[in-house]
Amino acid sequence: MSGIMRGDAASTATDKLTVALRAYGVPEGREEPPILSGTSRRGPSRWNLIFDTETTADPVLRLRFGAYQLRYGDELRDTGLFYDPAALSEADVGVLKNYTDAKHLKLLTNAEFVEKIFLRAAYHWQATTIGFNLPFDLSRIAYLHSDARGKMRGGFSFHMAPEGMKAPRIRIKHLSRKASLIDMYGSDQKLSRGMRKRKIYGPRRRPAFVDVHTLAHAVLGRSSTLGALANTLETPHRKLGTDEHGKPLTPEYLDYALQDVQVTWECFTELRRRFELHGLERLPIHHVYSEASIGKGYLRQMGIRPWREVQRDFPDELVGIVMGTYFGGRAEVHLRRVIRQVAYCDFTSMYPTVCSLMGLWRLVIADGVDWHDATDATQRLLDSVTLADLQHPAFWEQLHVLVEVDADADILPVRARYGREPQYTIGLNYLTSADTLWFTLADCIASKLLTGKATKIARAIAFTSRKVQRNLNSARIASTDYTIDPTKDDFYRRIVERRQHVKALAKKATDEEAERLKAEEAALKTIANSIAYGVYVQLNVDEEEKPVAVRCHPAKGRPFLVDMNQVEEPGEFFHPLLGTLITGGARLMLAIAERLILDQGLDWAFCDTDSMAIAKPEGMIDKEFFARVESIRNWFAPLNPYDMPLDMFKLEDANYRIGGGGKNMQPLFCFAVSSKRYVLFNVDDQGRPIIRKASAHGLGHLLPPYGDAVPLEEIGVARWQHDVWYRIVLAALAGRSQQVQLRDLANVDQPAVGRYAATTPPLLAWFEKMNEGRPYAEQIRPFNFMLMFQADRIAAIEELHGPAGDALRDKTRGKVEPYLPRAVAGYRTDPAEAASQCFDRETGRPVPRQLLKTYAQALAQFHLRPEAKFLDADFLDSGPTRRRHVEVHAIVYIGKEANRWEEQSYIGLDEEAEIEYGIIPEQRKSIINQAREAGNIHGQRALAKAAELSLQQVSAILRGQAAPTNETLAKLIKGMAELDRKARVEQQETDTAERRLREMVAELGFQVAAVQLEIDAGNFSRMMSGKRRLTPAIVRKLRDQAFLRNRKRRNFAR
Amino acid sequence: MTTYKKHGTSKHRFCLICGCTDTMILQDCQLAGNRDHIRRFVLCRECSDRLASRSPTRTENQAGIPQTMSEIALRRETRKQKAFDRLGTDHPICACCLSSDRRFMESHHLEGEKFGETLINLCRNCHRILSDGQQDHPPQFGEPPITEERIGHWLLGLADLLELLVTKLKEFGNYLIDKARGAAAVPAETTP
Repeated sequence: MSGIMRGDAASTATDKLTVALRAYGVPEGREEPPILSGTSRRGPSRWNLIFDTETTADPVLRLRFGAYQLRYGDELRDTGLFYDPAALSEADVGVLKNYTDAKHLKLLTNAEFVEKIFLRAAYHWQATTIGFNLPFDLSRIAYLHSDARGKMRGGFSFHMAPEGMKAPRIRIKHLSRKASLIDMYGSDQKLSRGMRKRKIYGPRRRPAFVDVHTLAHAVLGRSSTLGALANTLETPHRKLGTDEHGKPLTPEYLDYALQDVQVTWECFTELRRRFELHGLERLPIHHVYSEASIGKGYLRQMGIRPWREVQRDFPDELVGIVMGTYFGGRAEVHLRRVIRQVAYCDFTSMYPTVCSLMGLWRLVIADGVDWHDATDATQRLLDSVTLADLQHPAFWEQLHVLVEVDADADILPVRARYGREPQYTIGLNYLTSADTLWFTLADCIASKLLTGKATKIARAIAFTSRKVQRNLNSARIASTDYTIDPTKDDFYRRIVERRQHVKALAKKATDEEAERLKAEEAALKTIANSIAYGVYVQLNVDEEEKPVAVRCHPAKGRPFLVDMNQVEEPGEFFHPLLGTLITGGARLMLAIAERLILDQGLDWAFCDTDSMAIAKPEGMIDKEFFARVESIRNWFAPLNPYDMPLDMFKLEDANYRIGGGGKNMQPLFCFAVSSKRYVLFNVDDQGRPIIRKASAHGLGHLLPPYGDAVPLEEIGVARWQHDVWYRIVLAALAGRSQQVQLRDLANVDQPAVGRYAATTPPLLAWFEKMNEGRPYAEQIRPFNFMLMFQADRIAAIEELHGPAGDALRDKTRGKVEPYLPRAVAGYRTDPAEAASQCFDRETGRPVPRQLLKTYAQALAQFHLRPEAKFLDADFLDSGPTRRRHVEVHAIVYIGKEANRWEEQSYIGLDEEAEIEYGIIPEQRKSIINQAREAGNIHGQRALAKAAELSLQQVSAILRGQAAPTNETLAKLIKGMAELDRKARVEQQETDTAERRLREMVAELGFQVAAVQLEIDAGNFSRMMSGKRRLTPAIVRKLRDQAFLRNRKRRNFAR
Repeated sequence: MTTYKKHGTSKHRFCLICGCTDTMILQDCQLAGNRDHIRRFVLCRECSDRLASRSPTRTENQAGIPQTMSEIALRRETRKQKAFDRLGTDHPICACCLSSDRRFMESHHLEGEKFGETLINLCRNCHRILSDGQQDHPPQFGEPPITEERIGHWLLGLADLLELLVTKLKEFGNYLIDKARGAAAVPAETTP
């Protein structure tokens, strides 16, 4: 038996967990800020300043020289070089002077450049400052920096004049690797006091900053280096190659620097042209931070007013319920660490399709939403719904419903800390809860499809759209004649139709026309992706200087006040109802696919948001397999909302022969480790794998040990990542999937290193000790790159206790957990050199190189990563995973899960980044009672240890003499869960030991078994009769005995 | 400055900047501007070159050498941009007389400073005339002024502006008529 219906988890709970739900937090006493659609300020002037800096090649990355262009519109007016006299030798300055004289360029010192060009252009002329990776360049030319305050808190404030002198400052707040907020504010006043007092000034201008890297990501939907970007955009000039960074200056190197500025400008103009294709008059280019900016630009262009603006009286309590039902996309592995032939399918434009089927555009353009109780109707619908009903598009329009569920072994999304994972993950698991919980109706239908039984509903709220907003305008899409009338058309449907139409035209068009059509298609893809989901669940996290009282609106229970250091600010088009309905609909699509797969007698290897790898069962012939896959794919055909024949659940390109033009199928195999960690490959005639698609999950944070980091086309990973997957597949094909040979890959014996920039004050603080006593110019500064290493636990034990084996065997010493340094180093081009200079970021002490993990060590368990949210998915497990059966222990309310997610993926988990509102007051009492019970069963000391609290603290709480904070309560819950888990494991081990004991007695006889186990015969007898529990020592002995016997058997077999 | 023409010989010509009268180095210089509003100057070659190098509107050097801006040009641009920032537009035009030189443009509160923030751009002369007229408006009696009082002052300010515009239109109309009359009278006098 295979699939989710297998196993006994459905009947009995396997885990008692604290479940996390999203809540809606509103800062207390803070007025709703006025929502400004657009800006009343004038845009920047026509002046553009483009500049780039070149630095030393040491960890300080100090400015050596830079190049700039000053343009009025597109017209070049001024160009030159600037340099830091203290960072260059006399010979270098001579080279600069000769070069600038010969080329009739200006030569300025950095101070002169900042004062005469940069501040004039950026501040007084309100020019647009353009650069590639602009925060880095701006930080190079600054005199000093401090922590930014106000709305830019969490960022840096750069002083653009020597200490003690007044000058405008630049503030930069890092948002992600792709975008930063940059602004400038002045200390001097442009207007006289009288004019300011009498308000004699018109609409003010603000300087603008455009990071070409950010713009490229927003417009093209992918990040790249300047060189790769210039190649993609086919600019007239291309980036020159050089290896002269940090070396004495040469005219060629200066050519390189000047060319960089020119290429940056050309990339900017081409990106601007492509951005202008959208025709978004209300979105200035310097306000484009991501694809979502463009999506929001279209909504504004059509005159759509944000939901929070049109319906300000929507109750916060209801928003809390809506947020409680919000879960992201579904990503799971089912057939783990086994090679299976698959058909890899994905849903065509999943989110726009779901939006279109569910008629969600009406909610976007409505003057708000109304809601009413629909408990009886929803229960009837759930009781009667069948797979066939879901094939009718009209059915999907009934899914605007949130449901309060009395969960009893229903398969629903569960967010929890599974296993020993420190962060929350979402798994579709069996759920049983004493208290009711809220979900979308789509999730309940998915549960019925997968369990065969309807969920029991306590309450249901149906939402309907109000009348359409007034004064909406038609929008021209991508500056073509194709217009969409928001009042008559379904925007999602029309945009996908147009995209497919343009795609088809591009295939037949001539080269020049095809180029134009491809650009249009890319623009349409950007629009579809951005408006279909992200903008509705946008929550920006503001770091507060001191704790702020936030009223948390939970899905269950009354709102409560909690002090928070981080406050979530909803984005302009925040509409969580849309967000939860869209993702719920997408999960339902996957559940339908899963049901169909199981009904067809097939299996599935993994799924990821909008795709699923359908696995061929052993022994089935290809023809039969593909016929069944075809029948599954055809099932979705009636759900096509578009006015053209489209494959709704299509076979991806990887299923077809390379160069076959999407016609000839070739057997595709899959090896999936865990969620989002998989590889798809063909096998050639010699039995060698040909990788078709791989994921960089778990590899992306490391620098390439060899080769470059540019992804291989179509496969989607870098060369070295491809090689790692290749070795994993080779090992699996050879039948030894646990033993992957990576040692012979280049440089894998070098310390594994990741690179990140010092983008926030706390990250820069790691270098405080290193910077101590150094002049500012020689300090590690904001946005400097830094390298991160991983400490090796075994090496740390050896360092502490001598050879690891001895330490581990020695009970007393083995208990002492070694301190694992968190090694970082300033950036160096040679990571090996950086490794010799690295230090512990907590203590500042140097970290010896032998303590650092090598690439081979860091990747040693990459192919074994457990899928903690499921059973049978531990390190060495392979084959089908099983759903857990989660019994709700407590509910904790949390905020945005992905807060500083990117930073954490590079530098490790940071608990402070988590936004946790805590537990509702009503539940606190019951948790303390549960803790008392746990204390009685396991002992208060054990509870305190598991909860990482002091015994006194736990004792005071249990006696009712101390009121625990939310944080302490969370620790108590964690401790109870840990004790519970341990107890279950112990029980399992005891059960196994008892079984072994009986086998042993049956095999050897009572007396011999007692002698072998060195147990007194009387005690042994009592254990056998169940009068005495097995001691841990006996359980251990039995385990060792079983291990020895198995080893003997294996040796004998050999 | 885009074009230079060779100067013909003339006794009364001299360089507008340095007063030089050497006819060998004098040349006609034409300032690029509106097509129907070209101004010509006589300059010596030296002054002409110096002026050309200062010009912030110069585009491309003949020899293809990259352009640079002098300190004077940078400062002038700063003054210009500050004025634009103060006036709230890159194209300031006097609402009454249509003059457009940013150096004597000012912002005027249409209803008076105390009654609102409607700003219009005026040249100094027109600004003085309208501000003088505002002193004859009724004094403020509400603190702060109520909406009706604000609207009343706004309308009075608008009326002043329109009144000035009417005066200007009349002046301009009469000027054109006088000019036409003069033009018509000249041939009559010169006709033998």
